[in-house]
Amino acid sequence: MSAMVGVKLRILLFGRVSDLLGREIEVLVPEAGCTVGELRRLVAEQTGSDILLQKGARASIDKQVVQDDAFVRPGAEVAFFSVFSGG
Amino acid sequence: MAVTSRLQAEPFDAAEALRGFMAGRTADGAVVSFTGLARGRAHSGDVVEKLILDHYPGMTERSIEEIAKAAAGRFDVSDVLVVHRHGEIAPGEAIVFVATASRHRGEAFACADYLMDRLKTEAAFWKREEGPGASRWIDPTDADRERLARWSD
Repeated sequence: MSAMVGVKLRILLFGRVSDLLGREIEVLVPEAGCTVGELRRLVAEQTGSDILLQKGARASIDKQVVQDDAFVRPGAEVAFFSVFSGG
Repeated sequence: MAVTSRLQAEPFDAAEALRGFMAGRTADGAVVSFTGLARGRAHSGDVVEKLILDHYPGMTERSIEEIAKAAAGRFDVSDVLVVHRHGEIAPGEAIVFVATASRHRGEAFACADYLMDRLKTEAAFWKREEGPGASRWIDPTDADRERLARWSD
């Protein structure tokens, strides 16, 4: 696999997914950005953990919950988290 | 109408919150309140030393605010108040307090019920129980989802 030319993206993690990946991670993403679905795969490749590929791991961009087809631009605030357990 | 929601790490006195909500209220005939407390035992019976409510600053506040506004818009109520903790919560401490006011009790009861059902499943929190030598994330239950489904349009 060739090394990707890209930029670092900071990702925040909440709930159960933070147990494995920590509170935040940085991954390399294409300069033009990528979809949330692609980002999940990049995280798996770069961390060795497939937890974000598992059912139930949700995503947000700039604090809005999004689906996998949403587009992530470098500089966006991205978070992944387990299902809300409520208050 | 006032719709107020607060998210805080510090413990709060639910009785004081209720007194403040009721003060000077002369046009309403009903105030309903609910206080959710942290339990000292898990469903399994294991001791819980503390409850941790993980939250996402900004998103969590907004989720609570949206639920409170939706409740106020759905029922014929005068005012809605939600106070919610995050962080470490000891057994016996209040996690959440909701209060609703209306001219008659039916709408105030229904509004508080709706608020709690949505807060229990849709507020952006991740709940973990910590006990002696063990830590466990809490997932929403089928009962929580069934209660929420009662309000689907």
